[in-house]
Amino acid sequence: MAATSTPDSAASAAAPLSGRRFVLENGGARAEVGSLAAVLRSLTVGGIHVTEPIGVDVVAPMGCGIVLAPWPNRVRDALWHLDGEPQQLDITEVPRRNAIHGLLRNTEYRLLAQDASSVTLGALIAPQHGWPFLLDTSVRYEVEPDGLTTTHSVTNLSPRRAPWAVGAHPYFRVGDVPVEQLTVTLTAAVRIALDERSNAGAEHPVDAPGAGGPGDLRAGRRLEGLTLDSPYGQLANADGRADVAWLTAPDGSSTTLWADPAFGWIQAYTPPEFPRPTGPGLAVALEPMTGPPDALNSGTGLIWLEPGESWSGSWGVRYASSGRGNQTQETT
Amino acid sequence: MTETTILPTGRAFVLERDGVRAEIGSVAAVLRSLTVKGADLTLPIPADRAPAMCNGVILSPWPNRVRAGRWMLDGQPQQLDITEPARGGALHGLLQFADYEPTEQSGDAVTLAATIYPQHGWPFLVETWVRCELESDGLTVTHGARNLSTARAPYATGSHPYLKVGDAPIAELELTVPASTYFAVDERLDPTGELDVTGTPYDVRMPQRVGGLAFDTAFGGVQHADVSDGRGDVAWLTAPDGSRTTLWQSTEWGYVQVFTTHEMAGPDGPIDAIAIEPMTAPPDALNSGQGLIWLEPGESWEGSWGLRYTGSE
Repeated sequence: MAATSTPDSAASAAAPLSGRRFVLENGGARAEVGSLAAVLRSLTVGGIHVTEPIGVDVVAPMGCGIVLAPWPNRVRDALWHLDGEPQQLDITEVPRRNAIHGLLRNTEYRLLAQDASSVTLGALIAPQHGWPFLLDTSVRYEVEPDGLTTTHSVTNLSPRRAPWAVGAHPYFRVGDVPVEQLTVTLTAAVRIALDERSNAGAEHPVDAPGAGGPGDLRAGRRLEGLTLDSPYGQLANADGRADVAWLTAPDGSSTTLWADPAFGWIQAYTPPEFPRPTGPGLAVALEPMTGPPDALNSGTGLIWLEPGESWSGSWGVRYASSGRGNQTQETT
Repeated sequence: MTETTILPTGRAFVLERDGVRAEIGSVAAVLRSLTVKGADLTLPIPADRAPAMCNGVILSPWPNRVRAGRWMLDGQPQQLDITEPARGGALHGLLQFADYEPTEQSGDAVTLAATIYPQHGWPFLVETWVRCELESDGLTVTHGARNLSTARAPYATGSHPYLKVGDAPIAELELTVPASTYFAVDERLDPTGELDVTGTPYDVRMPQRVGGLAFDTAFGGVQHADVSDGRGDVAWLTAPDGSRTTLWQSTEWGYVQVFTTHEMAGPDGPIDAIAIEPMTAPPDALNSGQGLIWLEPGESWEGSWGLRYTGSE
């Protein structure tokens, strides 16, 4: 066949920039998912926004809603070592010379299973620069009447053991309440300080004198004027699935993040200029993660999978209106 | 057509027709092997391995390097991810590790598709596909792209096969490339100029023994030979017994990269190998503009290359 150049006007009805669109519904709760990076585009409970919604025809701004695998956050210098051998990943955060948010953020996931309230999307991670492993990964979103359960799974198809870490990048809301008016509570006992390239430094108790940063959030802090960009660990889920962080509105309504023990870390991030149709404003990401930043170097929280071994873990989000209260907050 | 377990090259597709056989992997739509009556036209990739030195992978939406991973679009700097940190550039496009989806399959052909989404340094949505189809003496590979963006998008593509002529030792093959120019490069292998090959070591218009070559060189001014139906021969390797593997390209594919190495991974240690890479554009085309295909919103493009085997007489 010779080279051809043929205008095709039928194709200009462009595909969504978030990939293939999936809508999940269950008892008044509704989620929209896109196949690009398995992005959670929106989640509402009774019409109330529980996450920052993003349009079907935008690429997730500031990582909003995307899956982070096989590592969340940064790998310093995009370099790590495996059995003494340097592994040079692609540099995907060029200004800071790091590798950020894994290998799937530009990947279109495949549909593996779907019903009215859930969808399972899969993506293969092939051996590549700095990553000599073959992993079969998937994400399952299931909407429940008061929220969402997200389950991340992986099977190591390599003939050698492989490290694994995973996270997600949701920004949370409590309906239309301005983010400044929300109170954030993090059950974390430790926090990792970041250097000027946003790479992980030392770990400190959140209440240690001189540890710097916003300090202890276990009793809740109002988000107005609070700048968060840190990983937090030693959450309340060490002994079993539990609520690990929540946002509370002045009227008592709340959005709660829960997680399995495997999700032992949360990256809290409060960009002041998150893009919204109404203009940029404060947003709050609470990113459940199985390990802290730079886990490929520190080893902290890394899950090692033997050849053929599979793993899965879940986190989720729950909304409670002011009338319904929140058991966890009342007892914390 | 078979689809088996997941390999480091992804799902496997086997094409067969009258003694011609090819194996394709879904990751990077990689050409894992190609044989005609048992003779290798390409360096096969073992089932349990990922492609070594980009063996067989599709290069899209640009082949070769983008200097510093940086280019300009309508006056705006575009910073791509740095995928060759040692040299500081962005190498071989955005699909080198993408798991393509099969969209069409038959016994002797498969079409694999991958969509390129807007990302760092690449603000375009481009649907791409690769169709591999066996011929009586080899393989035709057709690359396609459709711009699904609302703005016009640049496009370039290529492929990275390492060629063989059956079992003939690589060093003893003779290479011919009817190209009148080559691209000089700096220490980071970024191009510094397009020069006349006459009187240089890069003049391979007459056959040269591969064992005497040390190339990582893009060629331009390619004179497609024996053009028919819009395609012509652009490079060929001839074995001492006269058997030959020929690379042909659509006339729109005006460039060929030749890369010789003694360090290709072999079953028992390093082996000689020669990549002859069909390309629609030279290195750093996003910056030079040379050979770039600009696709208007909704516009699509297709172009082909292929390999042909000729036995000894």
